[in-house]
Amino acid sequence: MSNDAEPTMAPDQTARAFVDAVVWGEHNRVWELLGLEGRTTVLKVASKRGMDEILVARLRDGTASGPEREEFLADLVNGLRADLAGNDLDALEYELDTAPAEPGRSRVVIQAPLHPILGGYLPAASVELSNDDGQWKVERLVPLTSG
Amino acid sequence: MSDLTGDEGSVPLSGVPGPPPPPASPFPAGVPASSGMAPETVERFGRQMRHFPVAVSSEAMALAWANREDGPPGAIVMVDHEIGPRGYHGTIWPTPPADSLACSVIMRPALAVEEADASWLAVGLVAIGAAEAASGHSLSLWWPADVIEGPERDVMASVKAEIQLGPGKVKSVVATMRFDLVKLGLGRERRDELLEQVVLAVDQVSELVGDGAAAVAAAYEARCSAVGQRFKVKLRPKGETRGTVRSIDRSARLEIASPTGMIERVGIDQMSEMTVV
Repeated sequence: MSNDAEPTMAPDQTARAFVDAVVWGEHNRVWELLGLEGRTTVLKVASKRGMDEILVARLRDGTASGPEREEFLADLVNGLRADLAGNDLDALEYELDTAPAEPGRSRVVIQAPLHPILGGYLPAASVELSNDDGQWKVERLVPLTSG
Repeated sequence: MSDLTGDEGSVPLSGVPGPPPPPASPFPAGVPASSGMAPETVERFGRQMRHFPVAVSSEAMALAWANREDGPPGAIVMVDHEIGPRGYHGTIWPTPPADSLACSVIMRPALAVEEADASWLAVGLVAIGAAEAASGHSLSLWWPADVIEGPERDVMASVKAEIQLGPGKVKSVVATMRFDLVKLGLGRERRDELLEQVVLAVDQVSELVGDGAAAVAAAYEARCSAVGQRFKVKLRPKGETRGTVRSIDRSARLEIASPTGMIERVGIDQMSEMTVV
């Protein structure tokens, strides 16, 4: 588990902090590390799945009640865990994608080790990040394998 | 029509072969075979009791007693040699029969359906109470099915609760306990002493169950050394959760708190594997 996001935290460190927060159920930290685009996407999904629009607005504005926020974030964490299910979460490797990206954007590939007999790694997920005032924030977690 | 008419080529009526003789019982003499012969019920320690030298498991025999013959609460089945000593999630009890006490108690706790799993906690409390009283060892519980000793978590006993539900409430529970007599320092000769302590512990825990599932959970939590420890819990059918065990609720679920205070509850049937981290 890592410290609060700092301007100096690299994209791969942010991705690692995000996944650690998901794994350990640090729901407030997960929300804190999500960028604006990521939060909007998450709330849009919640709305599509039947969440009351007024509650969606309250969650977006940060005016939801404690229990409402707790329940929503617990569901979010469990959804993200489901995306990562099937991987050995203690052995993930984070690698910055060096392919050219838009300014202020970055992509980190998360890899899971294969069985020692086979060797090597298998991509488990990728994390898309954006730079928000010097801090990297997670905008999307894209699972590449399913449990 | 039938080929039993005596026509040429068919089997004459007088020679119709009867059903094959039943296979010989694999159990020693005195053990009820599949013929439906009623097993002997005796009274010991003020309880109805059935003792089998060999059986599939004490649980199977007690289940049959509870369901087919409406076995009374507190009735006990003891088996010297279990063929399939399976516990929580089908785990095989590893201690040889000669070094074990395997018994099942029929319980009829007044629990609501949503609190049914508190029966697991009650059985754990019976097992630890009996084992401590008979052996003098200081033991603790390890959610959901073990009685352990020391930081190495050496398993002294293992429990299982087979719960039968009725309309809106628990109909019966077959509480199965298996004790390692050698680890408890009892030896085979003190097996009856331990069995008597089981009977006494059943009475004590039954009173506690009368106070409600919350009282059972509180008593279990106080003796459970998993509380306060950090775990990685693999879940069924998939997924995992991590955090610090905060408490055990009245549905026997483990309440796991994350560092930011998110609470997750893991039920007995959900847990696949628990690792201290």
